[in-house]
Amino acid sequence: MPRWGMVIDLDRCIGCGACVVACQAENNVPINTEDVYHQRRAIEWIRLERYWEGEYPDIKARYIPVPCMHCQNAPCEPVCPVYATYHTSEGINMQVYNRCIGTRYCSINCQWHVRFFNFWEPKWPDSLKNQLNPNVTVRSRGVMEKCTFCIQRIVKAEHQAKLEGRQLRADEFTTACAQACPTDAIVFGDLDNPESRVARLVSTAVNERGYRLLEDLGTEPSVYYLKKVDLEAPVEEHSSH
Amino acid sequence: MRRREFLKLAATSATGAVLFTGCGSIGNGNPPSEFKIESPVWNPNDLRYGRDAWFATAAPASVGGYGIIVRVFEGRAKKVEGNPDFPINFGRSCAKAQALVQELYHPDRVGAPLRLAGQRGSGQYRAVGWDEALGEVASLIRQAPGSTLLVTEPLNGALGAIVEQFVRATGIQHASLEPDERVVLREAMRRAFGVESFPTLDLANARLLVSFSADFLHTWISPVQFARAYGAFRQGRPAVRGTYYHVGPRLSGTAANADRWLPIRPGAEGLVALSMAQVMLEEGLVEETSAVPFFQALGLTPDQLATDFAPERVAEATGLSAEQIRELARAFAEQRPSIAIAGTSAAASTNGLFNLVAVFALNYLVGSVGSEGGLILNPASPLPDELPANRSGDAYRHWVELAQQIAGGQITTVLVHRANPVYSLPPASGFRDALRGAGSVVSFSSFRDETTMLADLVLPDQTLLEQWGLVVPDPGPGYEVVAVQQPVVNPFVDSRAFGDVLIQLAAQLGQPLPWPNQEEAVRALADALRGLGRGNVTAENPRAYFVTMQAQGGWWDERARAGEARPQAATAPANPEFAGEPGQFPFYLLPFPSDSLGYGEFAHLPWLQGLPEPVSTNVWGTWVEINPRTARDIGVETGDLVRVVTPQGSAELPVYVNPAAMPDVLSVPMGQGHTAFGRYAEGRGVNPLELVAPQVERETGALAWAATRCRLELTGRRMRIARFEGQIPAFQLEEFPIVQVTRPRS
Amino acid sequence: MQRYFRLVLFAAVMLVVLAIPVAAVLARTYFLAPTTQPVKAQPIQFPHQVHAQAMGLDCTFCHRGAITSAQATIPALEFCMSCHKVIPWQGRPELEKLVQAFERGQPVQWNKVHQLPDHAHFVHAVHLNFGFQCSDCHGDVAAMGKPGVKQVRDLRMGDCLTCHQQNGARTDCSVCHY
Repeated sequence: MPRWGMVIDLDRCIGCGACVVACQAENNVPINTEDVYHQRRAIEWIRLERYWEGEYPDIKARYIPVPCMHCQNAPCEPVCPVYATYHTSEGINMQVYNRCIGTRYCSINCQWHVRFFNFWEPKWPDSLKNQLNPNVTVRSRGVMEKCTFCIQRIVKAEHQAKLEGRQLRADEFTTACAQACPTDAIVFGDLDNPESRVARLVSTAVNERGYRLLEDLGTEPSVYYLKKVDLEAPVEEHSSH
Repeated sequence: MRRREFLKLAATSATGAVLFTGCGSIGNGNPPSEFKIESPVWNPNDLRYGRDAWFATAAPASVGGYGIIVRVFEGRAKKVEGNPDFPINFGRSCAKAQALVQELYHPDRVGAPLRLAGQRGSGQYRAVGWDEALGEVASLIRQAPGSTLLVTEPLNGALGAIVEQFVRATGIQHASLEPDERVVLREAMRRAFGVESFPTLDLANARLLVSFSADFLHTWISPVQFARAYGAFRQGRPAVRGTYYHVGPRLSGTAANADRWLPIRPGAEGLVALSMAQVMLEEGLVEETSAVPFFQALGLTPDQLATDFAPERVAEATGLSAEQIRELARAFAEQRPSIAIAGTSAAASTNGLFNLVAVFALNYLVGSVGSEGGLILNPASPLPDELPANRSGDAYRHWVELAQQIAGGQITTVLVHRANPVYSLPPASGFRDALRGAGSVVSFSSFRDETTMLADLVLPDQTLLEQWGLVVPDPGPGYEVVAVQQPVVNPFVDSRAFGDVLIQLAAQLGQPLPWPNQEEAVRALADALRGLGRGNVTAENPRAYFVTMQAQGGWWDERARAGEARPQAATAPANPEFAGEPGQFPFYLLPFPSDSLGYGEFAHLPWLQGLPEPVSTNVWGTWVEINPRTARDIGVETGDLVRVVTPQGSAELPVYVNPAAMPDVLSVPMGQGHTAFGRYAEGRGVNPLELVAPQVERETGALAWAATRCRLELTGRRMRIARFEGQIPAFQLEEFPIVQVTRPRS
Repeated sequence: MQRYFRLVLFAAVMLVVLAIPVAAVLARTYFLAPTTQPVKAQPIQFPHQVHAQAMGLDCTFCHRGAITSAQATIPALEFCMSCHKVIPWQGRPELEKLVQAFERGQPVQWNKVHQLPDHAHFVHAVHLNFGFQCSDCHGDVAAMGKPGVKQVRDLRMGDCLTCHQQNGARTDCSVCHY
């Protein structure tokens, strides 16, 4: 059974936002209008954060893409009263839309703020509905939604492997964000398959400069980051907000 | 009753818990169409029901013209991905290409040919038939071909070939519009290296990159190509990590990735470059022989360089210290292979051409021109006569003349395709007013943009995903490449490809073009590529050849590379000039192309409007970036509305306090301020070109949009800026840093 | 006794009151069960009996998508006409409808018979590939003549889960819900 995971190399990330738009296109994420931003209810399953460091003229802006961490001890899961958020056997933290009753406990308990609530019925002009991905449910008002590691692509690849009577090959598909990423900063794959790129990165680069977001909370995220390399980085010091 | 409504009811009623299980009804509340399954009449060969089809086509030339593949399900385009076989992007893509599907299914597309039904500019139109509309355009051209002007984007590929043939056959005038910095860059390439095409960068093998204001990872000529190489530049080699220095007046989305940012005065890029050269030569870091083409390109003697451009002499004018320039020069000479590039605002100064030539000529000094890990020049089109590849747009100066000719009546009919001169040219050009009084204006746009709103007739073009074409990416990957563009879906509305319209018009005018339609033109040109007898595609007959080419996404020949580079003409050093007295206008106004909306051509797509600008994270609007200390001195903070006043005009903009802004530079993103162009673009923000004084680049006559000074006036009002920052409660704790950094391996 | 009368009455009333929703639920479940739905009228009364039983055509001869994709798919009229252009249709009203629709270029809109619950993704191909027969879920469609096809199996989540458990398939929510 695969165990899905991701490695994001901050030294490659250039902050272009291709992953953000690719995710919205793939997963039927509602359009983030100006009003939605004003209400602070923008939905971005993967988002690009920017942190300042230092002061002008010695100032740096650093980017970090943040999808759901798919924690192995996810704090969002035990608080759901209806088991709408749960862990799959393949290590993905899933949201079952038709179970969700919108208590939003999970989003409160998520330290990474990667769970989004549909405060409104998603709306598209009729013609834009032609673009919607038929493999992904359009979430209605009142349910939580979040990054699924493009579960529809996983399922499709697994079905294809079954139809062809073989095992899933390493890296035969990837998530929308990883596929779009122009610098190859995002790598997705099966952590348990030693041939996959992500597993190779975990056994090499991650040892050298890997870390996980808020790792000390002990939630065992499945998303690994590779530290940004900086010529002027103080030895074993970290950037601040 | 839908399940959710039922749950709401159930929660409020005592019997809810019991009734819960009774809700297993079969989807009542679904739209009725979900209960229908349609048997289509015909089953086209390329439509496989229930399964995805992937078609290879090309991204727009303005984002690099690279290969994309489009997922089509049941006849609807769903998702754009990069074409994994295409030699420019190898499967990578960008946000703008992702959003092409939104252009295809945009709710405000022009659905049929339109004729003006009220005053010009009123926006009142009524639908007419294609035959009627075409007949009218044909008679307009027939009346006075010599005083008809066709405005397009720079001619490229198959569509460019059709336009060229049409212009030749009918004898009309033609002008092409592209961002002015590209006009300057093309001239710089011509003078410094003797090539017509844009260059590419072999970053994957380079050790040091110095970018002078070029926003090469986000907006500059071919961001996906450069970004892909950038990934390898940083982490693709086990032993080497490339170093990137950025020299420029703004910490752009690209510059934020730099290992070191050296803020300089706007327009001082060339000066820094010459000073670096002086240091390298003085300290003997580069060979004397390699300096020969450098001096040729700049028309300088070694003595002049040594006396006029020593770091101590120019430091003041550039805003850097002499020591910083020396360090930069030493790094550039020692960490070879190294590359220097310049672009974006460097080209948009009155001395833009000098800036670019001076910086690009640095590559001669370190032997990086055309070598591994250096600046790679691109060859011209594989079919130079038939397939236009890198025609330059017309400079701003020429557009002013055209506007005068329209106003003076020498040009009576204006045909506009895809370009949007009313928005893209500053009001000072007089183009908008000229067009308002023009005899006839015909637009071939898919959207009601600003130019189309002044049109008497609109003949809607198809979007990129609906039509045939060949695109010659500029810049290519260092060798000859042609991308095939094909319709991935049937036309969504009653539109016709511009090439088809031109071919039909030519036939009506009695000057038939060599092809019956755009598709045949593409096939004929593809067959001409077959005639070259080289490249990646091999096939027996034209049909198999074209199909193979379609499946691969294009044609390329890795051995067809650019020839030896040699400076063609000298570009003398010049200092930047700015409109506005420094006493009266203390700040530099620095517009910058938006990372998501470009120069405004993508402002109609909601995904891109909603994509945060990477540094400020602002969305859906325009703002002015101010240094924190300056803001404190003036007494403004983020969200305060200020009036930006230039010698040309004024506009009210909300302040965004950008910690990385230079104290005397106010940056304003381009791309907004549309008065038309669909529901997502209209009426938001300000177009900074309206503030820009009509300064031109000295030698090319291109618009120098970064050569205006401004001042700020307080309004006392506030405005909420829509932005991403603050959406997510800060989750960074002192002991758990979010972005962690480490030193490079020594 | 008298002193308990009110309590007993209260209990009895409560029982009745509580029984009503229970009865309603049971009735609703029964009457709205997919298998109890009346046969839906179709724009053309297509006789599966003739095609699948009498002629012995395989289901996937027409429903080609079933072996390769999520949807079983209904063929295009063009496909029907590949046989029916040589089969006399004059005077046979159902066939006339088909030929007319084809000649007018008018797609036929069939009413969907087998309804799955909302938010469930079902993939035909993997189930057939595992070794199931079409009839395992759809019943003996070949024997269903006029008035039309009827849903014979519940095809609700309980049904799906039972079958998944019996056959060792995964029962993660995300197998179907995403």
